[in-house]
Amino acid sequence: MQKDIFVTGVGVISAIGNNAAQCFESLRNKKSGLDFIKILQTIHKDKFKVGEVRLTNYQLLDILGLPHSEIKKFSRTSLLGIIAAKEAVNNSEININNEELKTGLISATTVGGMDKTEIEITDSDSKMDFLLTHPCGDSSNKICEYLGINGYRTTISTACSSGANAIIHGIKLIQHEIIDRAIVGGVDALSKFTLNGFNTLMILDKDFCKPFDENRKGLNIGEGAGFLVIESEKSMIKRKKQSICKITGYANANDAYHQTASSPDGEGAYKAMYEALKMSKIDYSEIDYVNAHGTGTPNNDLSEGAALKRIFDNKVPKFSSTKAFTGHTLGAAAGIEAVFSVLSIQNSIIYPNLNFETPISEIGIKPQTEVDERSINNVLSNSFGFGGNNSSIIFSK
Amino acid sequence: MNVFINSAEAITPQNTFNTNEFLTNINELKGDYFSCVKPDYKEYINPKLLRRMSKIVRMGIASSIKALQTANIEQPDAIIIGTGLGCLDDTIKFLDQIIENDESLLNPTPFIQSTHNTVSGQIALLIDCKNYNFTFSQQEVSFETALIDAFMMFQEKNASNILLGSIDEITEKIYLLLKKAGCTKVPVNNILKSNTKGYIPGEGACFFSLSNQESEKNIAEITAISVFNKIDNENKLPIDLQKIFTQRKKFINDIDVLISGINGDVFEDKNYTSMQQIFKESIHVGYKHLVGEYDTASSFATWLGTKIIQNQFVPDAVKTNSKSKKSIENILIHNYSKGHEHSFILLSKC
Repeated sequence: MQKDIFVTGVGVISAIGNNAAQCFESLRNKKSGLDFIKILQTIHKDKFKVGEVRLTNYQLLDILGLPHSEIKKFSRTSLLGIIAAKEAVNNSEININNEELKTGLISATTVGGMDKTEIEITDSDSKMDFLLTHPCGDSSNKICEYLGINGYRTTISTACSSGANAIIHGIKLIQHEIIDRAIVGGVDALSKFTLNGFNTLMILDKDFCKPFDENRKGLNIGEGAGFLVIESEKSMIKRKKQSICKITGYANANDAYHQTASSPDGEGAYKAMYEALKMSKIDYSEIDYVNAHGTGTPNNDLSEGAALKRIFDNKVPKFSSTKAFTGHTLGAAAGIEAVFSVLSIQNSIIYPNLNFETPISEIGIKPQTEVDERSINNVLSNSFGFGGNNSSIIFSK
Repeated sequence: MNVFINSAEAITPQNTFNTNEFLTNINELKGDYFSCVKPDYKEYINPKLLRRMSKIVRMGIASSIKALQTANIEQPDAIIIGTGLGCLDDTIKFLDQIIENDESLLNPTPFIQSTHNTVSGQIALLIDCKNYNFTFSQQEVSFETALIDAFMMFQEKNASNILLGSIDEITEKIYLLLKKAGCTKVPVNNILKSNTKGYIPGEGACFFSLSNQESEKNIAEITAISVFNKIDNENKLPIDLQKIFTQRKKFINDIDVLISGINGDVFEDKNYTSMQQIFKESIHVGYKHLVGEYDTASSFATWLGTKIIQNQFVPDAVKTNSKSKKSIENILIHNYSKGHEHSFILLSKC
């Protein structure tokens, strides 16, 4: 990569914890967050297991010290986003008001404030507040307002790869010296819209998802947010900060195969991994862990598995999907999994892939199923989405 | 580093697509909001596919295919799109189904086509383009941040040509929501001088084939892009714009045309007056009385600026003062995003 990019802070909220420490403990203890729906109002409450953050919007406001009277100003998406972004900023100890170093926010979401829209649009007395909170950009604006970020901000919406693309855009902005550091990641709240959407596509598993298993039936949808603070070397030196790890490679490619499905040979996934590895100049054998996209749908896992085998010439590194812990959190997924990848390096650990029993017959590869504590130098994180969007990012010690 | 425009194609409420005319026959506002003129989509999209596509997807695909054809590009090195609200019609269709059918027996098609990256994904699929593919959605700066991404790609030498565009749509249903929220204006004859609050909503798809190569194909150059500017002192250029002017050796008098995002909302339009005063010798241009207000309207301004440079002519329909210039070398596009900051795009003759 042209210039080093350092990760100095992480923040996350998901079904397995309200912060990075809680999520990490759940991962290490094989404690999944998937269960029946409690908070989202839907007729499917007792039908599907999801990765739900077990806090109401009022409780999320409480965590942020915001008055309950402001409930109409915030979608659940923006509240989740603020919590994770705030943790990342605190963790990195950056001072956003530092005038010498410019801070930006690049977030990602697939449906923005849909959680609020779908409730208020049916209310004939609605004051139409949801028109303000519906756009993808609103959650980013809310995070900026809360954290006091006045400069560059944008939002990426490339379906389930959105979070990875937000990280990529942030890296570029720093390398081009448009900003010195960035809060990057993604957020999505559970909504009837996405739950029903995936249900109509018949890719929801009624039971717990089984990534990379022969008998996988689909995904469990989830919610949450994950953000990193990334910085330039200049910013690191100025504030004499130690980094957690670096980002050494990234790539974005398109599968150009089908609007919602991945190609059977995983061409787009292959291209994203290939370009990211090329940029990082890391030897393929030095990838210690692949945090796979691994949604648990028949299509994704076959396609991603085929691409992994092809790129690593059948010597696939240890890999796992953490989606059986958090559910598939859509636009937040790559943000959350970036945090998990960084924590993997920081804590020298490979996370287990839950619910795996039988390898997929066509590819025969087995994910890591138990916690493996070992020194981790390089992690490859994959994120793929509708529209053929595929992205890969490499984190290095 | 130079970013050249090799083609600019737009499907808008005016006759801008597949025509040599340049805003001579103006389509007056019919109804409460501006809708795009429908081109013969079959010229650009297979009728089988066309049937399943929503309006925004059709607009996006046809204008992008035409932009690639005009620039003679088969495979762009990147597809970068900005959209404020994405595929809103399909989003509302799916939402309506959820509400009306109480979450059962839903048709998946509107859900599939509701994601913000539907158009960028569909273009990739149609031309079999496996390259870099991004969709930005940051309200009124969606197009601008997409353009910044394109600039960075050229600087990295990771692209020699990029398909950049924007899409946003309006429907009756969306209009009624905006009206209920008090955003809209009662239609009037002279929209920009109505002196009333609210705006007339609109829509459009504008696509550009950009290149970093100087050639006879260049029709204009994008010299600079700057977002999130504050105008602290009303008589002075914003700091970032000053920097751009210094870098590009431009002076206030070099700006022949100032394209402002005025939309006729008496409260919002104040945000443009200080820049209009600074550039008081320039030809002033407005355009939202022709296409309406929408998140990515500044991409129409970019199309308009490109055509003004290409034709060396400012159509009467867009002029808001009586200045004139012998030749048009530099155009500054100014857009204000509600409650936030100002964005600027500088276009120059090649």
